[in-house]
Amino acid sequence: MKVSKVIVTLLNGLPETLSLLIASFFFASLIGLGMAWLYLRKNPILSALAKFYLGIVRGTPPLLMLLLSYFGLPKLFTLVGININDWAKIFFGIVGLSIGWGAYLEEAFRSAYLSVDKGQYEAALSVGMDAKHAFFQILMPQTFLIALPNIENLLIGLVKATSLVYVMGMVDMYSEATDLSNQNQGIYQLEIFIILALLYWLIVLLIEWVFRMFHRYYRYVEI
Amino acid sequence: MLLEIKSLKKKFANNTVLKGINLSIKAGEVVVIIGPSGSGKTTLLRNINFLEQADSGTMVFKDKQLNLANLSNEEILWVRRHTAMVFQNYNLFKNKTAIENISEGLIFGQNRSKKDALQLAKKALDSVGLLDKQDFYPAQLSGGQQQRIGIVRATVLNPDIVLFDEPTSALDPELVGTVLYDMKQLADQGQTMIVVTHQMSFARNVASRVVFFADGEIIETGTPSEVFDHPKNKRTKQFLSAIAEDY
Amino acid sequence: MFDSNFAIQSFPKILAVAPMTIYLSIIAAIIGLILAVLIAVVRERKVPVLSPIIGIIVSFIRGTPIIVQMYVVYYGLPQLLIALQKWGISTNSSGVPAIMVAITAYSLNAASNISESIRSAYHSVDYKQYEAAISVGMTPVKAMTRIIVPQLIANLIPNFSNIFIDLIKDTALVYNIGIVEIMAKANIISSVGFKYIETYLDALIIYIIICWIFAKLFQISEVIIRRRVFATQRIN
Repeated sequence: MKVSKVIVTLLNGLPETLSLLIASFFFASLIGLGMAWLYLRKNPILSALAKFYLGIVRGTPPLLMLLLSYFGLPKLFTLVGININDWAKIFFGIVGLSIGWGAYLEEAFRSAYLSVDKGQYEAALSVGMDAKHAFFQILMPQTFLIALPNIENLLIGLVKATSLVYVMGMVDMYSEATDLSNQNQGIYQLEIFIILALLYWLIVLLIEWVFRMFHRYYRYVEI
Repeated sequence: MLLEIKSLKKKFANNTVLKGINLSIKAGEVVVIIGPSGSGKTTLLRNINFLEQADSGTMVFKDKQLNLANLSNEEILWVRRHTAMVFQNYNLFKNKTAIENISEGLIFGQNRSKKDALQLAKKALDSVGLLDKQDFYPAQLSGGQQQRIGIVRATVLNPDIVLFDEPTSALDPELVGTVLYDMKQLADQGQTMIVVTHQMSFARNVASRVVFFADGEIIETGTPSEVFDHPKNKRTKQFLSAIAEDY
Repeated sequence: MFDSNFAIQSFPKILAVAPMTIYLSIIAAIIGLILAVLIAVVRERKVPVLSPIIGIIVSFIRGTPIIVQMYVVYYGLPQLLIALQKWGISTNSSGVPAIMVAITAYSLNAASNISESIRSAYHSVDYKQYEAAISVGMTPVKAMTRIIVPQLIANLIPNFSNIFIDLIKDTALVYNIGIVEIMAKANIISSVGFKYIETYLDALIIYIIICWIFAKLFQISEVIIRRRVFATQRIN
């Protein structure tokens, strides 16, 4: 079997891997921002809720998160009389990964926000900005820049976690590899998985490169 | 009177930091507040533009009566838009270039167009000879340059009062002079200023009035020569003799 | 709908295999730590040839899913052993036990992650501390072992704790090569009656408890070590 055939077969799964990655990261960011906002409201009930959520997710293997989403969500929805059993599998994949990564992003956003120098906010107020402008012009961009290394790590972790959607029968790059390896009855299995690993590595290197470029662009912004 | 503060009180937990301050300032005056560290000088300054809020007291600013214990958001914003502050640690916006630091308040505090704001900022930056630094981020500038831009950021807003919170304390000794020079220029132009500082020579040479502050109270106030050469209060004398070599 | 009796009955059965999860994580963490120290030394000393090669391997391992790494080892280890036989080294390539595969893959994974943490913990120790130690007459070795390393360890613990907990969670994948740990047991029990949610919730609870316990243990050890190293406690 030719290497090129392996690569082409594995790349068939790339669109699924990428759409899962992008959608999950998008929704995880929304969850993360929302939870961070709740946490920082200084409302004891809301922040306890956010803390509880983080505590649960921290101890949950991503695989289990996906399984619970896939098997648990339909049951939960039947309780309120909605049948989601035949929704696309990618939906459950996105839910599982977003809930998991949302918690980690929440932590990244919150700790970054808290480490922005308080004097920056005061300076914004002192030149006559209102709280909203001070937040959007000064606090938020700085929070984002501080959180960037963590965001990068989480995104890379998410790339790797997308390989776990095989448990619900989605056909991503990883599933293409296992299928191919089974079809070949034990020949070239090592080669297939090494090529698969190289493809994942390439995606991760690409992400690292993008973040490095971004970092270079903002190299003079020392926060 | 431009600003009149009456019996301003401020407590942090059990610690009374300001014990009923009365202070009046005329337009064009340069009031320099001196006194030991931790005496509440900075807190007083921060109470004037409400970065801290007083527990009680009143303030008349530009003929507007304000109850310090009960301020509306509009009042807070109004005062902040007619005052400006220069910070000890400069506090330039780290994610903005020098010129953006100056234009930011014009755009978001005074609702000017971006184009106008940048034009004004450019002019202001040029007037202190720092135009070549307009696209630099704070991290690329020396402390002295940062603080001078901090002063421009404050004065470009054309505020009625500029509050200086120990503007030279964080600077290397050789950079202090450039900042003090800019401040003196401002004073000469008739800018009303309240300056908290340990630079006694500045107080002596530039102040129209010196206020000696200790333990959350104004102990003594007068012209520089009254306070420095003929201090009436025992604590003022003690303080001045302790720092004698400085002025 | 949700069979709570089944969930309760299954819980002790799943809990009974939890030691496998913990055993695997601890072994991988220990081997990983030892390798990581070597990697960190090689990379910090910039050993020619070796350092860049190891750098690439670390980047590769950190950039690929653990499940893929596991299969690379699963298929690759026997082939490696056969190759070693050809070179005249006596090995037994037939039937490499699954646990060997898992330990190899997870140790290498742990080693790459820990080595990066060690390096960043090392960089976060103020270099002036070393200079000060030398200036009071310590030998470079003494300065390292008495001044730098204790501070490095204190800095390392939070990251190490995170890596270890990730390791516990990642072991949920070894059922793929036939090792019976928490996830495998949950799958086996539920496949009988297709009651997945019940056993998965059991597994979830067990994982959360295990992770919580280890996170606490690391937290406590960090406090103790910081107290001994800095005579203070980091304020959280």
